[in-house]
Amino acid sequence: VARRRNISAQTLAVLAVFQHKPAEWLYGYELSRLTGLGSGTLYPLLMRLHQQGLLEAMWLEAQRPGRPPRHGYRLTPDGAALARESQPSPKLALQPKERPA
Amino acid sequence: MTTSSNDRTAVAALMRLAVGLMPDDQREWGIAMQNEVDHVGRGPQGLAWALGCLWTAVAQRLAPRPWLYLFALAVGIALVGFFEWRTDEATVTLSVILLASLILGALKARAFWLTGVLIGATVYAVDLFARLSGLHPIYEHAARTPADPTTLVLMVPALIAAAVGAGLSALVRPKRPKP
Repeated sequence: VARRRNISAQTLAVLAVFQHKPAEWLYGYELSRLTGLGSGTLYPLLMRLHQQGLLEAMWLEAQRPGRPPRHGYRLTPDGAALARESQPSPKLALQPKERPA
Repeated sequence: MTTSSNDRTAVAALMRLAVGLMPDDQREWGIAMQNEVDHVGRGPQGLAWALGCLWTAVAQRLAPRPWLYLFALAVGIALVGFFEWRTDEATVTLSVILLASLILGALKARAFWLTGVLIGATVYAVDLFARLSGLHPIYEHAARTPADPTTLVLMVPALIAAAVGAGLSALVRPKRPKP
């Protein structure tokens, strides 16, 4: 990535979460809980990152039987590069919500 | 029915609606949001999640597409031209200009200036066409005199109406996060 893009605070928060867990598949609700973003903000953002080739999505079997599969997300190499490049400033530090998983 | 089961029914109904509203090529994302509901929890959290998902689906469904704006712009220009050709009532033409600009401004806020310029210049374009073609509107008995460039002042109300439309759409739509 040649130059820093104009990235929203919400996207920075999501990228920061992925950067902390680069190898893990993260779920929508988990991301919502860790970033404090509601589903109405989070999903359009994830869709756009996916559309831009920065995020990969995969259906993963639920850990508990009888539950539907979940959509897991993790950054692509391009997404990881963008996350590294756009280190969030301290004031954008994550503020996880205290909610049960 | 208990409150809890009412909530679950409402959440399930909202999620079904959200999945149904998602565009076909994004239906998978609707199902992904729906399948997360089990993990979100019940009560207000689940309801808030479902409402956010519903909003996402509506926003995806209504996301402005370039062809839609261009088509609407062509219709707007055609309507202004039609009324300018058919009637000599300036208030009618002005009303159509304002209405078309307002709607187009709301449809594509970032192009409000383009809307204002093109819709506002339509009357002059019609005058120019009448002059060059030798045709004349039905309410005139002879071909027009040279097109009057002062009609380009109609760009001002068109620009204002388009900006108002853009402002209204910004109030209604939530901010789309920039990746």
